[in-house]
Amino acid sequence: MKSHGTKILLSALKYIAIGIFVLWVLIPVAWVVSLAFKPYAEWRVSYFVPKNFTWNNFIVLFKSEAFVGIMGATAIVEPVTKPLINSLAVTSLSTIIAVMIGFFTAYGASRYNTPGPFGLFFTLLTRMLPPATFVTPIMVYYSNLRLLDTHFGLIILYSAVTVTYGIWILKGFIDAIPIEWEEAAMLEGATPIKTLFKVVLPIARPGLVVAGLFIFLLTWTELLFALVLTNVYAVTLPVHISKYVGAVGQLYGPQAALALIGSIIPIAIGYAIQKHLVTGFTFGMVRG
Amino acid sequence: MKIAKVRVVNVTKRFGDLVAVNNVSFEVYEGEIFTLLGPSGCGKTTTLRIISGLEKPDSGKIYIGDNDVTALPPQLRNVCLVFQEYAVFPHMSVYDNIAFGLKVKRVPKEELSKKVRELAEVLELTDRLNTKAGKLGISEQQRIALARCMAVEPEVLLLDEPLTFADAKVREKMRRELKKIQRELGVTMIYVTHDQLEAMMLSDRIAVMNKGRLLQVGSPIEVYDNPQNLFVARFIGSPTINTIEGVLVRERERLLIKRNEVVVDVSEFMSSYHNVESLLGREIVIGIRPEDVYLDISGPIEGVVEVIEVSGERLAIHVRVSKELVLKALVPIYEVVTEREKVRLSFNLEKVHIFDKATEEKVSSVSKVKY
Repeated sequence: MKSHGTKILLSALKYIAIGIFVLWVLIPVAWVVSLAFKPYAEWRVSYFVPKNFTWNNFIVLFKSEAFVGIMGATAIVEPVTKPLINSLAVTSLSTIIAVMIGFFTAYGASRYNTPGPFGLFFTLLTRMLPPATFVTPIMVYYSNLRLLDTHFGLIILYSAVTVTYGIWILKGFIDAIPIEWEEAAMLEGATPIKTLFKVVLPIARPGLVVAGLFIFLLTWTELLFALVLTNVYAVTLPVHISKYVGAVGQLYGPQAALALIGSIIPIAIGYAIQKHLVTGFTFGMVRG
Repeated sequence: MKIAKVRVVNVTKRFGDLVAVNNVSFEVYEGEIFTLLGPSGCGKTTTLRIISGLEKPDSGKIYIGDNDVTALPPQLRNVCLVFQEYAVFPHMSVYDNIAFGLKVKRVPKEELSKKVRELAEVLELTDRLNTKAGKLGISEQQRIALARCMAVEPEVLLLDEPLTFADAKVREKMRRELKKIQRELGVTMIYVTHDQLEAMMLSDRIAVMNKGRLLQVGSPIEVYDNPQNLFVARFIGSPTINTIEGVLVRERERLLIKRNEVVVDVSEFMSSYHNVESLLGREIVIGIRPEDVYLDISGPIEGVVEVIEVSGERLAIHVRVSKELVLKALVPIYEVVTEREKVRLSFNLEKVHIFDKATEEKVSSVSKVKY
């Protein structure tokens, strides 16, 4: 039996541990937020609250700006509009493709045992090698296929390397759907395809949402492939962020502002769909 | 509504080494409630799924009406199945559940709506039409599943243990409703259950299955009164049938069933069998239902009352005849009998069943009764 004092001590220790963890995670984020609203003169000082609050870091993002750095070096950074649209388009499309292919593959794996456990395991292969090992061959490939710096090139690559998450996440969801629902639909006259779209797909919706969010976040923050495979036309947000660090020095302010914009979008999406993450999966089961 | 008969001809289905359905044949008549009855694993559900088209038989044929449907997929068979757990679509409203099959068949919207409302009326679901089906209780889910099936006007309605998950009171009510609805709509119904009482109360005819084989088909009264097989005799009826095992011998003009030290004198009623001679020396099993055993001071069997149970209008008395043999008798409640009392028992000779122990088949029946 623990004494009252020990209990309080343990509980205090627990909160201290949680507090340290939260600080560990949140201090860099707070730093980014602080930087985004600081003028140039305050970027390298170590207080959080800006003395001269400014929106300027955000405003320059949307202009074609020539930055003059130390020793007179200049860098022209394009406005963020295009990379932002690129990122949204590439990420959304490759997510949708990966989730849909993942869904059909997972359905086959769950109901017809294709491509067999071995085959299913090997879809993970694309995630077992560090991307750095195959980014060069892909660049050569893409160069030959004229896919460098294209949206299409990025989309098929991203769907290919993330589809395995779609398969594995969705297989779990589909395995949990009683096959009687499909059989009932077939006995009502529905073809297998119709059954798949009218019954399995809607019931698996929370799974689609989970897989989609996961893949979206992975793709949204991907830097290496985009950095190597794009140059001007199909540049994505992470690549664009990296451009604020270069010949003219570190443009901390605009970089932080862009990081904020870049994280607000997935946060907003996550918030908008969170109700789909929890609802609807367990209802309808008769067995208690 | 079209009503079809169903013929199952020499159907066999294996799962690996297990013969789930072993050369089963039967015919279900138009508009009757036909029950496949047996313990779990006897092949009844597999047989039902073969009729529905969800399983393909390894051999044999299925006819619905006059058509051979063996090669047809389930969606082309015009049958519908109510699953053990009903399998209503949880993400759809009750209305959309009932309308599912009609939408698949592209029934015009007005006709569809009319039909759904009609069925909702019959099955008392009208005020639930807009509720999500997954949120309702089992009694409602069962009615939704039924309505969904009835909407597509199947020629045959299949039900796979639909009352398993209901508690006893609800089950009784649902069973009555099921029969009422079937009678109203007149549809041919094939019903699977492991509950013999449910089968007796619901069915027009019962098929008893065990270990993949069909043992007997008949009306509830036939399978109860005239079991063709020891398994059928034991499976149907509560309390279960009395069985006396032993070798039939003739000693000093008396017919005896002997097993170790147990000797039962059966000359009184066995002498009325016309083929007694052919049974001599064989291992046989005598089956007699508890209600056909009665107290009789001059009866041929003597024993001691062990336990008396009151069951409604009757007493179930357990009489120990020997170390190995206890006979149950259902006697009227006014019989004066006490525990540990010595009693003599007699059988209703017309109701004695004799089975070959090796084959479990009925070997003979009483040709005529003589006292």
